[in-house]
Amino acid sequence: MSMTATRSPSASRDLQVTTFRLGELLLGLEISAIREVSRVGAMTPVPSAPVAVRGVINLRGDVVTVLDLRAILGLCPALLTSASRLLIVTAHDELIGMLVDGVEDVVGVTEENREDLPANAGHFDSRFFRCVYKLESELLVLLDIVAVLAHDSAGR
Amino acid sequence: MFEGDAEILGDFVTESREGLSEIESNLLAIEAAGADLDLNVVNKVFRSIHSIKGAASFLGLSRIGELSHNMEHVLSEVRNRSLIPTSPIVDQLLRSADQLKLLIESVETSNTVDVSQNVRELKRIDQRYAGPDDLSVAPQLNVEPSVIQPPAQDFGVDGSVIQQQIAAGQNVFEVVFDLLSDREAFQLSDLVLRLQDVGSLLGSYLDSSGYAGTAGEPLEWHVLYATVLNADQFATFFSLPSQRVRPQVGVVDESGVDVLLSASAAASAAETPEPGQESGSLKDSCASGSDGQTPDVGAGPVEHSFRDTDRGGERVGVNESAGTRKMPATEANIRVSVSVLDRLMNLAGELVLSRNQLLIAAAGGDGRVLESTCTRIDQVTCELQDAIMQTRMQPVGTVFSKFTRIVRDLAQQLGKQCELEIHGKDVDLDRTIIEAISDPLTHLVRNSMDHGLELPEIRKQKGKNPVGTIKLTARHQEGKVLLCISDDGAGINADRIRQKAIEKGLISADSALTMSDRDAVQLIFTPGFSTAEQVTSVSGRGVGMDVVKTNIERIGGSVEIETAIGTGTTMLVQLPLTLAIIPSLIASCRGQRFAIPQLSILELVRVKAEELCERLGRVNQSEVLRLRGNLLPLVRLDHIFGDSNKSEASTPQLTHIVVVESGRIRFGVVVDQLHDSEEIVVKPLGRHLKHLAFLSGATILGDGRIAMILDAGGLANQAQLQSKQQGLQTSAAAAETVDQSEQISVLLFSNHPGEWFGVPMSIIVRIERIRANQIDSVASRKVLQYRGGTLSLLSLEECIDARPREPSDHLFVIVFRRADREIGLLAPDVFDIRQITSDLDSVSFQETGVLGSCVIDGRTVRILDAFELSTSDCGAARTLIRREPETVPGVDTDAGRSATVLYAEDSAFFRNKITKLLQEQGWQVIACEDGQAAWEKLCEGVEPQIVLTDVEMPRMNGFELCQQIRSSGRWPDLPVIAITSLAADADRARGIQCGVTEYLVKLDRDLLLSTLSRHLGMPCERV
Repeated sequence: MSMTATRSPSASRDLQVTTFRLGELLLGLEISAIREVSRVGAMTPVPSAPVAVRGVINLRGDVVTVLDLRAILGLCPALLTSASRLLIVTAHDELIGMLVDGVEDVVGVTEENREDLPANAGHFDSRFFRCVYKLESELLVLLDIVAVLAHDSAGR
Repeated sequence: MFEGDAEILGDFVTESREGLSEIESNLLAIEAAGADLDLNVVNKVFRSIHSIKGAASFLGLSRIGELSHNMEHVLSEVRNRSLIPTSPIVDQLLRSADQLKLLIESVETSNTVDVSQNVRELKRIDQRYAGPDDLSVAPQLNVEPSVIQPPAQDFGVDGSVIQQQIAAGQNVFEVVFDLLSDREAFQLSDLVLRLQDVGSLLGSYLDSSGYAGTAGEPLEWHVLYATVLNADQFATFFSLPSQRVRPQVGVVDESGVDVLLSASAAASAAETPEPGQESGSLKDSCASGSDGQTPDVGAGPVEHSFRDTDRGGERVGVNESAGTRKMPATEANIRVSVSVLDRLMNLAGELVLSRNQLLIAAAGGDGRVLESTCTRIDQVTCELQDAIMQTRMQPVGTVFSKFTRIVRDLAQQLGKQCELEIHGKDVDLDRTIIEAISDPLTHLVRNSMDHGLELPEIRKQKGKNPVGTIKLTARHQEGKVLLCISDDGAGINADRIRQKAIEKGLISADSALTMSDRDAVQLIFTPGFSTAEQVTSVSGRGVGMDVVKTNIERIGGSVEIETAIGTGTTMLVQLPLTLAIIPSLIASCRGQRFAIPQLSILELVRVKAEELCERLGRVNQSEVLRLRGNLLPLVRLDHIFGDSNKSEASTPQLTHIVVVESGRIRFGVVVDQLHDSEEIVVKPLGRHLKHLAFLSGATILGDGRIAMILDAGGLANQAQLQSKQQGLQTSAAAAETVDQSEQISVLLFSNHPGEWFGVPMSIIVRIERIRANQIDSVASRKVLQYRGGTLSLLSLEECIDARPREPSDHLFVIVFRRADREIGLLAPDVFDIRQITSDLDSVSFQETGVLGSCVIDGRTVRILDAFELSTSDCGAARTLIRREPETVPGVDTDAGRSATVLYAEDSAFFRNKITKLLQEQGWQVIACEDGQAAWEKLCEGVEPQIVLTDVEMPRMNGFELCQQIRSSGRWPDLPVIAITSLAADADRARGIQCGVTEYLVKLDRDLLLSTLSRHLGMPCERV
């Protein structure tokens, strides 16, 4: 359900976005796409797993795959700190945990502040991003969660 | 068209699916009931079709609407009893239902599908009803005539008369003579006489309804007639078209009115189970469609139906059983009975109570309360688990029931006659297994129908019942469920399988020879194998059986074939009860825990550090463990997982080995530590990890952490054991086949690439790989600086007549122990370990140092006697070991000379070899070909000082011999030494239990001699 929400044209309207950081970069994900935010508990590594898979966790009885968002975006793997969080999202009837460096806030963004991706999306692969919102102090890049999840299942 | 209203469309599909899922069995029940209609069932079908029709027209699904409308129409005719649902009608309805299913599965494109064929057929049923005269043009002569039974037209004969006739073995027909057109053929008076000749007239009436006086219009004389002839014979006898002869069965319905029922319908009805039937078996007469073709069949069903009606019209069961029959649940929803739900609710309540108690206990810190609460929680959890499992369980009958249809259709398609018997449909299985097993089972049943059962004529020739039987059985066995699919067909010809397998290059001609029939038959599970003489649409192109096997194995099951030529084939499918909870062993490697399902575990092996180097070897660069004379490939988890940290790999730390089996592959998984065995709940892995074939899922352990579940098959693939171990596997298979002659594992190597040699594994201490420049030549002897000492080396060409080895950088050294020192045999290339039988050809190569020869993979292999090689008789080796008395202990004592050894051994090769060896020591040897012979010798009064016996022997084995000796009490102190190639701990234990004094491994002659000497009271330097 979350997937359809992110994809539907309603994304152009005002949004509630959960913001989080990967290094310096401020990223956002629609709040409706996130099922919960959890601390990184005991994580079990999976042998021979794709690079982006950090391991699996036990989320109240479900075995949840944890993806390292940094690895998917081509950054060096995340260091686990006390600020590290998992964004639990649902994709294809399955729970996925996205490992991020820390969750900041929930902000409302409006259509007026929306901008297309700048041509120079830096050293990132722009296909993972949907658009950019201008906040007071900095830019918020909206993550395309569908692309992120699709990438990893294909490009192991 | 639907304004994108996907939700409504989805609902429609779900609902229709649900409705259609029951249609098939209900239609079959309707068919079985025939005229003895159960309106409830018909209504059920009618309602489902009706609602599909309604919704389809609302959604603009014109094709679905059209088809369902026509089906509904036929059903309504059936419902108001103006149409008796016979096989062809039900057939058509079934076909239409199938088409409807297809349409609904692809609902978006359904409007583009052409359904006119089905619609036409359905309409034709209607028209036939509208005009009975069309009957004569109906294509299926045998059955068509009974499509319409004019209930109003009665012969005025009591139903019991018909029954009496049937009971007396007569066939009863309704025969229609056209008095006008048939006049040319016979006079009415003649006709009556002829009729009385071959049977008896029960009644008749004249039907003038179709006659208005014009020529060509029929004037029908309906005759109810009893005769011993069957319908076809009768028709021929009177030169009548067969559709004018309608087999009749009298059935008394509830109202007591006699109705006439077509034989086929009654037959099917009679076969349908009654609730009280002992085995709950369901027989489906598939032969009904061909009643008229064979006399036996014609008579069979009639008898059945009589037996049935004889019970005073209390015909129950048909509709009830059809109504309560559960349908295969392939949908996402399952139905749970309210009672199970209530139980779950209760247990949940209990759990909440227990939790509250636990909280109180935890707060109070009272240990005893805590303990009792824990017990309670434990109990509730168990029950809860049980109850929840129950919701997942479904009777296997849900799968079985669909075979009634499949067998029926196939029988028609293949022109075979077949009865389906179902036993044990109440056996419960997890629904995931039920779903997974459906396709493989279908394939197996199809296979039995297609390849197993013979055509009726052939069956008759063979003196079998022309109607074949396929039996589906389910039963519990050792905590698993065993499904059997057996047919009484031709059986599988193992030779033909072998031949096919050779033709297809699946096996070599040699291995085909050594393969047992049982193993050969299992070849049909090999990919790319098909034995059907021609490819049929039924069993397809033979791609199926291997897929069947893999699919069954995927869910933790196994499949085997038992076959007997001429009497039939049975497929045995063993399945776990559930997939959700599996007992597993928890092991850890590199600090990470893994679960290995107990199902795939054969044994756990612990290797002591000091034995490590002796038991560990390398074949083709892969690690192997010597285990009871066999080589077990080893898989190290850290290697599989591509662990880059290989620092530990050099130090072979292996102590715990879990021996697992997957398919035919057996291998050892090296783990660091073994933990408990636990019942684990299987959790699926996410799609990012699905491709990791060696993981079959994950589980959450008691401490909340996750452990991966290892999949033996996946591990084997990952380690690429498959190809490498092929040789080992086939030889293992061969080992099973040749039970009577003993197996020796031999290490194959070559000295010169053109010549192969073998050394018995049992004498090999280890195999080393060295560089050629490590070899020193000291005084014409080759030695290897080795572990702080020197190892004497033998070159084969210096010992026996062999081609010299070619220079190479690296060499293998086969190390064995001779007397108290180790000797190395240089082997440039070591390639495999094989099982060979002990029946070596000891004639072709008579040479010191050669035990004999055998043929492996089409090459002659000389099996070496390493001990002889190293003695002075052998060429250059004479300098190696001086032939001194102490190397062969106890020879010179006088006491030894007079000693008598009773020796039992079934292998002539070993018997001769060891007899010779013992005689060389000056002992008298009484050699016997088995334990029985040895026992007889003992009873005859032979007084040996020692008994030497093989273990595996026909008639009386070594253990039994020993037991006999001990239990007789006459020789309490007679030493009995068992020598064998089996030296498992279990065997040892058994031997000791039987009173065996010592247990030795064959081919270690020094040990044998020293042991014998010791027991014969002779001086011995080494023990």
